[in-house]
Amino acid sequence: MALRPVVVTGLGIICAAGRNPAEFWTRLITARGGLAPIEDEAFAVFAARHAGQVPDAWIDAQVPAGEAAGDRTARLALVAARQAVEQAGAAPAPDRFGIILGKCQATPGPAGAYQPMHHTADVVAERLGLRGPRVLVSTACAAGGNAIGLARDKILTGEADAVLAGGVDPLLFGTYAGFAGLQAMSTGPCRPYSHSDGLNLGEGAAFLLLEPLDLALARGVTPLAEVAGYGLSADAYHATAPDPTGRGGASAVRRALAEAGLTPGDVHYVSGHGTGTPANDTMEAKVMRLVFGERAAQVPTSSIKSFVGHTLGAAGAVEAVASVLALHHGVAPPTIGFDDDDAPADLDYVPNRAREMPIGTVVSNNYAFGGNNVSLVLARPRDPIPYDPTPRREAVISGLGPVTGAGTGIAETAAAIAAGHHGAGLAPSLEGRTFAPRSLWRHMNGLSRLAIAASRLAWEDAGLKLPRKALDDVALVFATGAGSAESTGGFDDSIALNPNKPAVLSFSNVVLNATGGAVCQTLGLRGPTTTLCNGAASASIALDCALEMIDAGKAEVVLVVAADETPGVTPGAPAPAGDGGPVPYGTGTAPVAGSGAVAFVVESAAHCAERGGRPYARVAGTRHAAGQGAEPVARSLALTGAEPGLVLGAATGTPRDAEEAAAVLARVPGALLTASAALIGDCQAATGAMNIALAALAVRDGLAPALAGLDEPLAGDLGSYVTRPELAGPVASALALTAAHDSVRGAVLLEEV
Amino acid sequence: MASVLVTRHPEDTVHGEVGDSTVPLRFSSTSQEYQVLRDRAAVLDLGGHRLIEITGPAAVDFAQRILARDVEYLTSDRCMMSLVLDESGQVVDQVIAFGREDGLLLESSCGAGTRLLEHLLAHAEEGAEIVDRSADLTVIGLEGPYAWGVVGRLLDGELASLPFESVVDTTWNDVDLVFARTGYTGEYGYQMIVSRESAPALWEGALEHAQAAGQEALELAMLEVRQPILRHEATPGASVIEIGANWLVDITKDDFVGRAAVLEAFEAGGGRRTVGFTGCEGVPAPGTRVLAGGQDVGEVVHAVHSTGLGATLGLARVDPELAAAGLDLTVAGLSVTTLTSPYIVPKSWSIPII
Repeated sequence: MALRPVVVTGLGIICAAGRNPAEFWTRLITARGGLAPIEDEAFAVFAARHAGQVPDAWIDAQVPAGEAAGDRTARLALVAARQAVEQAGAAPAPDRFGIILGKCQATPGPAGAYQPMHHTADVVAERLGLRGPRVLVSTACAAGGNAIGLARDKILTGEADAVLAGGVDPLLFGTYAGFAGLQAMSTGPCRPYSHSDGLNLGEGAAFLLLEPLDLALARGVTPLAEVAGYGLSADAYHATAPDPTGRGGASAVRRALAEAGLTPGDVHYVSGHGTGTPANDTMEAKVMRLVFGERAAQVPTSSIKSFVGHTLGAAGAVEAVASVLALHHGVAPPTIGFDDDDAPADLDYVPNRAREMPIGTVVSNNYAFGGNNVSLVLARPRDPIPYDPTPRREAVISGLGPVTGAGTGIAETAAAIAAGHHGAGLAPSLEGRTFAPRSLWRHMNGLSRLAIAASRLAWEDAGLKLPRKALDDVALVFATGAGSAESTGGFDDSIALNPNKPAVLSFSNVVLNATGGAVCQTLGLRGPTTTLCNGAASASIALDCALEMIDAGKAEVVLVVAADETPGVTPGAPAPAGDGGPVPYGTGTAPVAGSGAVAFVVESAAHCAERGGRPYARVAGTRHAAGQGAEPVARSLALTGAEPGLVLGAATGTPRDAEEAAAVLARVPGALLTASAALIGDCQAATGAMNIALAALAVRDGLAPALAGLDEPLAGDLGSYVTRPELAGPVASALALTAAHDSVRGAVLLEEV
Repeated sequence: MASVLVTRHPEDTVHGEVGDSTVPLRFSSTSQEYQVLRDRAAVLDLGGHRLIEITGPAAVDFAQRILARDVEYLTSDRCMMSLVLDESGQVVDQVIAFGREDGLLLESSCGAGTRLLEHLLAHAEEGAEIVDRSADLTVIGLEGPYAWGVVGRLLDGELASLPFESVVDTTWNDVDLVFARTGYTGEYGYQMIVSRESAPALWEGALEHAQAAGQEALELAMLEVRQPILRHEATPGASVIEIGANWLVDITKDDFVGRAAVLEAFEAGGGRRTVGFTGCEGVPAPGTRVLAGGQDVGEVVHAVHSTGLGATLGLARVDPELAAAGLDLTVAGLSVTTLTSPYIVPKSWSIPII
């Protein structure tokens, strides 16, 4: 079966080694790196001073006159995104044009406070008029490569005709202090694969414009490269250190090659992760030997980071741009600063000088904190081929694991719903049983504990009993708005106190995917894994990603876990005073912020049936709509399928609940409307996931949370809302909504099996 | 119990009784075998370790009650060391517990398998089947700073760098192995659980890359890093705290056999503590009195001549306030100095696996 080829038709980049693809390439092949001492005196507190910085002038010269200056992160991203769009010359309909952005760090806005993770993607999308798929992927240092793979998926599903895929991260003082605290920095320019005495941080943005080969050719455009496949894997080993065996990295390469229909023998060049830390460089050599065996020394591999430093979330995209150019020009860029006089390398790291060679296939690898690995396979574009439609496989939700103020586990949660209790603002309880080996549990932060408990409960609820070997293919998609507030706050406080004494344990948990990594490590899951950060819409986007994995045959079982926390609402914290819960869709109410994790098992219907599982519901359809204001609500509801009897809305108790209620009542006037926020408060991504979980529960067991205290709805009349927990019976179908306001909204339709 | 490999041992191998087993004490010379273990890589015949399988729907619950550490989430790719205690908190054995798909596999310490098996059977529960697998399985170990190189040559380089206490089901020449990264001596350590039928071939295969070391060299190297050797250290009446093996007990676990006694001993305080010492001539016998400023403060538990230190190395059980490094005590009229462990620094700590 042949899938529709997806190609790259535009490139954009701004980094320490060039302000556009042409300059970047010239510097790569002439071995002129961009690492230099940081001039900003604030960094003088650190022994290591080298970094790959982008001169302000390079950005300013490329921002159109009159455009309101955004923050540095958005400006970097806009520069690279515009270059890619311009080169491709693609102009699909806005609804068919998406953006998938990789980003590692939460970045500050003008006032200094952290912006939502997805903010940069929203800025780029609004400026360029993109209303198609919008995803923020945050698998730390693997995010840029991950974004390109996800973009390919979005084209294969038919949701988009073009997707801007890339990554961005600026150089931030705190991150610098964190890496310095981990003793991971080189005091000079980094020298990957030879001295390997540490990394340099860098900054920048890079984008690739992806579109289907047939559409590119129809426009008369010559593609630069084909994104032939990608592979994700989880080490399930450690928060920051790579699995020393290299098996996690090797598994990502093997999955990517399998998706591309290629073998290790087809690979001509490998763009390595090449950070220059001893742990990374040793592990990468193992990956090369594991994947290529005897041929390892004949496959040139080099480090683009030797030119630009480690640009974190942008790195995978920066290296993908280099890989596309390497393919296009038939030149392998070198590893610069290479000096192996002391211990000659047994692999070919393309030392110091670019090499002309025939290149038909490139593998680009990235490895991240949290044990997330990604490999991309880029190949010379093919002639058009007849292709088959992307296969769709029926998927079911077979296990639920809510851990919220309303209960731990689905039984407690159902009991709370039936009794009309709410737990908004209450801390979830993790007392009474263990969820992980004690040796791991005691090192976990609060968010990871919630997520692990939710995952374990969903797993048990699904009745899954899989042998160790099968766990190597179980996927995990983690959804979070902001990750661990506890670790981010603790780390920032430590930096404010003394930048040379960062709280390194917190630092390793600042990356958004740390919690997903902790779940993989605890449950031993080594399948494809990723982390998505689209605020309260993260969970439905994560479900989409899970369905794509199942459709593509990459996994039979995918655990989707969503978690977010509010400082102060942590296990052991006292209950807030008063018992009035939030009243979604009500007037004169306010949201109640909470902490929680909600996991659900997504499984191919065939796999679930074969093992005798008892699914809650089948996933009949999903839809996302990006954009500002109320307009995307109706667009997200344009799902085909049976009219749902119940809608679990994304309302949390704000005046904006009105726009959702009005759109829902217009679209499905016969349905009853309610919202999980009435039960558990606003736990961002976890509340979105709770809507999906409770829609599944309503379909199988006929139970839904009542909107206690609703007497004056913002739209329609009371008869359109759930005001008592017992429905007339199980509903044949239920719709779950998610919303990151002014960014993206999601809708998930579940039907009885 | 005799090792299946006994016929493969060289003719002049010195065998001896350790608990219920006959094991190779030394193949040639203990000090030479010790040097191999500390400098290169040694192959160990661990045939004196009994393998007991626990299966059935209640296997994990049963193991959780019997073992002093938490094995609830011990997956089939992990192993861990734990004590097994009786109701009075006395040590029954120290085991390596391997997670398996259908339960657990317990590996006894050398010569203690019969006692362990009896203890398990005495506590047997419905739903947990206890089967002694020693009739069909045995264990061969690899230990030393370059043991990872032996693994690479014998099996697969990928297995050499497995994280500590990881387990992989693999094969060697089409023979099924349960392969684990373990370690008794502070050096890189691996164990291979193999059928008795195939053990001789695996033993010969391993000997192509490394030299055999006997129980004496192994126990010496264990003592040097304060790895418990319970047949010497678990003296009657001693609590796990006195033995210094409390790291093999997890009192945060809700319940396990012996927990109450350990807690009681901990809360009562008192008792003695175990500390290493060196300095005197010769090897004092267990029970030799230990004096501080002329006062009797305890006794020698176990002592040997340490090849690594080139001196006597012993463990003394003394009053808690004296269980500290750098104190001068008297053993059999001779001056000794207490030590902090490990008493020698394993070479493996400075050698990366490549």
